[in-house]
Amino acid sequence: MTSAPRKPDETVDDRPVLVVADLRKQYADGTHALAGISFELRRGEVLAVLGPNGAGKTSMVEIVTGSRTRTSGTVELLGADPADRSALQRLRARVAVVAQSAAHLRYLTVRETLAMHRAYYTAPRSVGELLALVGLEDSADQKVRQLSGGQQRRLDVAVALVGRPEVIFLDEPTTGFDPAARRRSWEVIATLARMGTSIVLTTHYMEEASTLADRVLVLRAGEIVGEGTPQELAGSLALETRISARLPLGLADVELPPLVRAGLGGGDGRDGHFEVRTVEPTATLAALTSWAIAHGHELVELRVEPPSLEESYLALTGERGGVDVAAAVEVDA
Amino acid sequence: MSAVTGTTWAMFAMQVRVEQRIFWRNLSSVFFTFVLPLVLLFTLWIGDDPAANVQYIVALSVFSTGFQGLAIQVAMHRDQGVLKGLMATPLRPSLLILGKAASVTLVILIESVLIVALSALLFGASFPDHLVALLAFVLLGTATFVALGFALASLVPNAESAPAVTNAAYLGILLASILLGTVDGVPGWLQAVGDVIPFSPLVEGVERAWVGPWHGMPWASVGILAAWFVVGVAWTTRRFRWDPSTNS
Ligand SMILES: Nc1ncnc2c1ncn2[C@@H]1O[C@H](COP(=O)(O)OP(=O)(O)O)[C@@H](O)[C@H]1O
Ligand SMILES: [Mg+2]
Repeated sequence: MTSAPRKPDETVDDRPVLVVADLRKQYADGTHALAGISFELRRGEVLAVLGPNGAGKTSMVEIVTGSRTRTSGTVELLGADPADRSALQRLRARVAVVAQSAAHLRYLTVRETLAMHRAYYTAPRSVGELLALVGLEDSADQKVRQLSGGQQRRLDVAVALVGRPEVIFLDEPTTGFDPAARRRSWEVIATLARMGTSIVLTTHYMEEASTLADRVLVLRAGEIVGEGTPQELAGSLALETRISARLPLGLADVELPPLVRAGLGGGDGRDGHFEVRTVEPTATLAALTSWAIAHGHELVELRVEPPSLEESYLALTGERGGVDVAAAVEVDA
Repeated sequence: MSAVTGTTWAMFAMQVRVEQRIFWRNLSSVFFTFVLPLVLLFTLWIGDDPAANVQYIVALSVFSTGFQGLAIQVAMHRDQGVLKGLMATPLRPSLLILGKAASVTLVILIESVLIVALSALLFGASFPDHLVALLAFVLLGTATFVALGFALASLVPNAESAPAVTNAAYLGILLASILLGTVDGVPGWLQAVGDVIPFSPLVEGVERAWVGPWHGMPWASVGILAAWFVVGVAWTTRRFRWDPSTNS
């Protein structure tokens, strides 16, 4: 943050592209979609907003891009308030949105759709460049209504790129895709990031966030419950390995070693089935097996399952009960 | 491809082109726009004195294309998220609306010419006597019904209810206008109500321009249409939604 000589040009400054402070949204029907969130997007950064359905991702994107009103809080996008109509009109030339519920005219071809959007900008990208960027060259003359879901989403991205935006918001760009289509979309997004575009990407795929993002916000029920780089986030979670087995004579009459007892949970208890969750899998497993050998018990169906990113995310967003990790992940607060 | 882009004119011209493209490519919109006047023309043809009633078909196509046809298309596009997508671009709402209005005007002009030409061909109906006045009324009627069409689209909650709501409004206005204006024994005050229903002054104006000696512009009709135009614009400005969701 040293003050190198700088032209009074707002495009070269190092202020954040987006500053959101204590943003709240309550819908007319009473639903609280956002319970006071604050975050920043730095220039050239890819920020993933990760959260399950109903977390408030779309509400956030729509408010921040000016298509929805907020209940309270402040938003500053490229130095302007998107709730101000005339500021918003100027922002629209610099900010693109790939909305979850937006669509294109079904009777136009891909090429015509892009040509239409070119009319809206003073220095648009050429149709050929756009088609190549998203890999739609072969579908250029197809009608929008004939495109597959994945192709339509790629057209959405191409349309967003027409005006060479500085900031792009992508609201769940790959939801419902098969893995191949998702990977193709990731390549497109990674290309945009390399071109220096600042990107806000919402998703409910942990893998997507960790592959593409410089920084991740975890949103749950309108609140930010985790924030950091993908590495910080994974590291801050006490990732638990699951060890499970069956003791045919049941758990009631045995004295399990302390390390095992501490992590006991899950398992249905039927036929002596039990499950242990632990952050020290080696020690726990050693304790369990040496105890079993010493007492002459057989650990039937002994299984060791590694922690998955998906699992930790589910824990974070409260989709899997019992584990309160929200407190454990305030890494970057 | 090297055309100037990003100017108001470039955006407007593009909107008109796109509206024209999607209109002519959507067979059902073309069918419903053109089949009604053609069917009516045919029923006139097999009745007696067909030439006397051609002007009503022109008035009716202005009304149905500008009002009902537009409202249903706008409601559908909103529900699909097309309008929302366009509103995220630098295209201004006023330009989108003006583009639609210009495109609808073009379609109505084509329809009108077709009706006049076909009726002359089929049963020797005379050409309208006062072309400039007729054109003025067709254009004023189109502007009014486009404004009211957007206002009507503001009242449509979603695509499923679009046909029901727009047809109810369309047929309701049509029926009220015809019944209150032509049936005997309607009390005077009800007739007066009938006269200000938006369809009535259009019929009045087109009728006057079509045949007989010219007694000057029917300014009362012009005034009523203009007043409805203002109502439509005011309502649209306050109530029109671009977003599929009805809850903000
Ligand atoms: N237009 C709306 N009216 C009322 N409630 C809404 C509306 N849109 C979203 N919600 C509610 O707000 C919450 C957040 O929704 P949303 O922002 O769409 O989350 P996400 O995009 O993360 O799935 C949900 O409980 C949802 O039901
Ligand atoms: Mg969403």
